[in-house]
Amino acid sequence: MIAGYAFLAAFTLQILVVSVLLPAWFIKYVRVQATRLPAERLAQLYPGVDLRSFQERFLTQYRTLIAGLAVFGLLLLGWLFSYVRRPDWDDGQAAVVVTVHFLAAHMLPFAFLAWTGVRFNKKHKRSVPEGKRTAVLQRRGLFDFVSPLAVFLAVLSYFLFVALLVYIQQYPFPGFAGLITFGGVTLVYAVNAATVYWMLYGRKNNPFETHAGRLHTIGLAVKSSVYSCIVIVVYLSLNFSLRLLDLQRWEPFSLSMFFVICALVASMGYAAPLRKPEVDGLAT
Amino acid sequence: MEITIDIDDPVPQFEQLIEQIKAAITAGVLKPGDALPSIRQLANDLELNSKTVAKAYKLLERDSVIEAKGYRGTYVHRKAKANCKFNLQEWTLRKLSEAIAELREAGVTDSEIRNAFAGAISRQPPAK
Repeated sequence: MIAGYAFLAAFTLQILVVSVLLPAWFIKYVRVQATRLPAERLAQLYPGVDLRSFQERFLTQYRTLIAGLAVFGLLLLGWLFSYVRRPDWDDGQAAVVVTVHFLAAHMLPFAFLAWTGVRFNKKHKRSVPEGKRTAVLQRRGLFDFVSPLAVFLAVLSYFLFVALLVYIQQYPFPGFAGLITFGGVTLVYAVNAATVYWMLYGRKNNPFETHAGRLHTIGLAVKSSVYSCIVIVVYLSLNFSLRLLDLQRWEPFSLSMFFVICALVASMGYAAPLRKPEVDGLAT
Repeated sequence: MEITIDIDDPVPQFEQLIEQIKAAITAGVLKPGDALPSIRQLANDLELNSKTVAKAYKLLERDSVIEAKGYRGTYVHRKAKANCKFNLQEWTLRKLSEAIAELREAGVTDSEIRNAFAGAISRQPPAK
C-alpha cells in the first residue's frame, strides 16, 4: 500500500511540475524573449499586426490548454486514488500507462511550439540582410559549459549500465530485452552527443541572438543533454533493480518521479534566470 | 574580440580574416598562447565555407602568427606580434627587385629576365 500512496504523491508532484510550474516558467520565458526581438524588423516582417496582443492571445490559449490538462490530471488522480486501493492494483500496467500518457499529452503543445520556433527562426534568417557577419574570436569547448565531472559521470553511467545489462542477461526476468535496451540507451547517448556538438559548433539558429545570449543557450542545452543521459541511465538501472528485487509495485512511482526529474532537466532553459539585457547587451 | 566579415567587400574573405586576426594581435587583444576558435566553429559563426577559414589559418600559420597544436587546437604564436609586422609580399618584392637590378646591370634584357623567371619557376618542385 505504501508503494501506491508513494505513486499518488509522485503523480501529484508530476501534475504540479508539468501542468503548473513548467508552463509558468515557459510563459515568463516567452515574454522576456519577446522583448529582445528587434521591433522594427518585426514590424517589417508582419506589417499591420499587433504582435504584443498576438503573443498574449497565444499565451492565453496555451494557458487554457494546460489548465485543461491539469484538470484532467486531477481527475486521473481521483481515479488513481480509488484504483490503488484495490489489492491487485499493481498486476496490470494501468498506472504506468496513465503516467506516460499524461506526460505525452503535455509534450504535444511543446512539439508544436518547437516546430513553430524553427519556422519563425527560418523566416527571420531569410529576412536578415546579407552583408556583414560577425563572430567572436573565442574558442568554445565542452568543459566551458559543463563540468568534467558531469561528463565523466555520464560516460561512467553508460559503461556501468552496460555491465548491469550483461549481468541481467545471465538471469533475465520476464520481458527483459537487453539488446533493445542497450540499443535504445546508445541511441539516446548518440543523439545527445550530436546535440552537444551541433550546439557547440553548429550555425546559430536565431539570427538576432547576441554572442552572450548564444553562450547562455548553448550552456543550458549542453547541461540538459549531459544530465539527461545520467538521469535516463539511473532510472533504467533503478527500474531493472526493482524487477530483480521483485518490487514491481514501485515502478509507477519511479516512472512518475523520472518524468518529474526529466521535465525539470529539460526545462532548465526556461527556468534558469535570464540575463538582464543591460548587463549582457541582449537589448534590442 | 569580435571580428566582422563584409561579404560585399572586394577584399577576399580569407584576407579580411587574416587582417583582423593580425590587428587583434598587434593591438594586444589576442596574446601569445591565447586559444583561437576551431575552423569549423569560426566558419559556422561567420557562415563561411570552412575552406575559407582553413586557408586563412594556413597562411597565418605559415607566417608564424598562429600555431596548430594538433587535437589541442590553434593558438597565437609566441612571436606573433613581431611576425605580424613582417610583410611577406614586401620582402618577396624587395628580393626580386634586387635580383632584377643585378641582372640588368649584367646586360640581361627584361624579356630575357621574364623568360628565365618562368623557366626557373617551372623547374622548381611544386610548392606545398
